[in-house]
Amino acid sequence: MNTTSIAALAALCALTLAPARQSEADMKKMMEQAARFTQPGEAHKPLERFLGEWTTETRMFMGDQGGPAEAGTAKFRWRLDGRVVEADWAGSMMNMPVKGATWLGYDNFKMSYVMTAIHSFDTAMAHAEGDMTRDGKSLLLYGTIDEYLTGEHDKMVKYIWRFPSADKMVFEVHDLPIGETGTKVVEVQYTRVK
Amino acid sequence: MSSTLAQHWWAWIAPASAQFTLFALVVGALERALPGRTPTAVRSALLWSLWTLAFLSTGPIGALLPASVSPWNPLAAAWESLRSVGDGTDGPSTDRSPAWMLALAVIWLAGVGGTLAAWTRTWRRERHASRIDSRSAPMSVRREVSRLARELGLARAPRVRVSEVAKGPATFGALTPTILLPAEWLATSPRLERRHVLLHELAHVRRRDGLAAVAWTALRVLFWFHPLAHWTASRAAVLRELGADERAAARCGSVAEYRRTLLAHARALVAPPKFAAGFFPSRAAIVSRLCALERDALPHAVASRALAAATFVTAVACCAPLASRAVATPAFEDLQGCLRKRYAVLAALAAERASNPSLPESSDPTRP
Repeated sequence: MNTTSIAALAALCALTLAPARQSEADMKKMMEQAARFTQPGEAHKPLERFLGEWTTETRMFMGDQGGPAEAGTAKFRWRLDGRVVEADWAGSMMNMPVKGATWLGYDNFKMSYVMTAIHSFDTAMAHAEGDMTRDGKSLLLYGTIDEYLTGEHDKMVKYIWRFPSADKMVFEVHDLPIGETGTKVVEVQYTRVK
Repeated sequence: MSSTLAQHWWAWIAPASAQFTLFALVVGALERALPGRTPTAVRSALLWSLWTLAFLSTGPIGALLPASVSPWNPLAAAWESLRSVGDGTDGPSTDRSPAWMLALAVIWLAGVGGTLAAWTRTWRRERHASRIDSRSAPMSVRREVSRLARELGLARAPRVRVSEVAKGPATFGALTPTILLPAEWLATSPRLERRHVLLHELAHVRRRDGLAAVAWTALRVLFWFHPLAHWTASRAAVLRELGADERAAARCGSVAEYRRTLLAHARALVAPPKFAAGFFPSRAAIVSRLCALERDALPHAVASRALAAATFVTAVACCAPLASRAVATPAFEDLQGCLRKRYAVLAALAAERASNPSLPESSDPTRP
C-alpha cells in the first residue's frame, strides 16, 4: 500500500468515525439529560408529607363565610416508583356525596410541581402547576377550568396546599376571576390518622 | 380594615343577639316552670347552658374552636381574614360596610368600654375597702373559719378581714377569695349566727362563686345592650346565694335554725357590694332564699350535681345545632365566581333528585 492510499484510507476512517464520535457524545449528553429529567429527585421529597391516611373537613365558601364542615377521608400513596403521589378521597360538599382522585408530582423539566384532579362532580380533569413557597409551608398551584354553565374556557383557578404541621394540611381552591380578595371557594382541612 | 371588622362584627352580633334572646326566653321560662323542690344546682345548670351557648357557639371563644366543634364561626372567618391580609394569599371582602354598621360597631365598642370601666371602678373600690379599710381578723375567728372550711371540704381557708365600714359579711375575690366581716357585727352577733354566716360565705368560696360572678359579668359586658343578659346574670346571682344557703344549711344540722338566721337579717336589707357575695341579702333575693329553705329536707348533694350535669349537657346539646343553620348563603345571582354558581346548581340538582327519585339517574351528575 502506498502512502497516498494510506492517507486516503485514514481520511476515510476519520470521516466515517467522526460522526460516530459526535453522535456518541450527543447520546451521552442525552442519556445524562434523560437520567436527570426522568428520575425522581430532591424536589420529590417534599411530597412525602402527603403520604398516609387522613380525615378531612370540607367547607364551602359561598360568600365570605364558610359553611358547616363536612367530614371525609383521603388516602395518599406513592405511584410509579416515587414519581407521583396519588390520592383517593371521598366526602361530601354541600350535603352531596363526592369522591375523587388527585395526582401530585414534580416535573423535573418544567421545574414545577404539577397536579391533576378529577372528581365525581365533573367529567373534566383539572390541571395545575406551581411551586413551593420559600419557607416550604405552602404549595401554590395555578391552573384553568372550563365553565360549562357559561360556556367560558380557561378560567384561572389557584390551588393552595398549606402545611401548618406534619399532621395537618389545608387545601384551598380559589376562583381568581372573583377579584383580588375573597376568592376562596373550597377549603379542606386534613388531619392525619394515627 | 375598619369596614371589614364592622362587617364581621355585625355578622356575629346580629345573629348572636337573636339567638341569645331565644335561648334566654326558653331557658328562663324552663327555669321558672321547674317545681319548687328542684335542686338549685339544676336551675343553675340551665342558666349555665345559656352562658355556654352565648359564648361557645357564637361568641368570641367559639372563633377559636375548630370548625367541626363550632361549625358556624363568623369570628373565625374574621380571624382568617385578618391573618391572611399580611401574607397576601387572601383577604377580606373589598365591599365597604354601610355607614350605619360602622356606627353601631363604634357604639357597641364604646358600650363595652364604658361597662368594663364601670365594673372595674366598682371592683377597685371594693378591693380597696377589703384591703385598706380593714384589718386581719382575730385569731379566734380565723381558727373558727379554718375549722368550718375543713368541714366544707376546702383545702385551704380563705383570708378573713374585719372592716369598720363594711355594711355586711361578704366574700371578695375570684382567684383568692377574702371574707370581709363588719367589726360591729362580729362583736355583737351570737355564736350560732356567726357560724351560719361563716358557713354561707365559705360555701361561696367552695363553689367558686367569685369566678362565676366574673363569668356572668363578662356576658353583661359583651351584651351590655341586651336586657335579658342583665336579667339572666341577676338570676344567676340569686341562684348562687340559694346554692350557698343549701350548702351552709346542710352543714348546720338544722335547716330551720339557718332559716331563722336569714329571716332575722332580712329586716336589715342593705345592699351588698356588687362583686361580693353577701350574706345580707338584696330585696329581690330574700324571698327566694327564704322560700327555698322552707322545706326541712335538702336535696341530696351528689344526686343534685348529677342531675345538674345531665341538665346542662342536654340543654347545650338541644340548642347547639341551631348555631349551624345560621350561615346565610347569598342568593344565586349574588354568588361571585363561576365555581360557587356551579356548586349551587349541583346542589339544586341533588335536591331535585332527592325530592323526586323517579328522575333518571343521568340527570343527577352528583350521584357518585
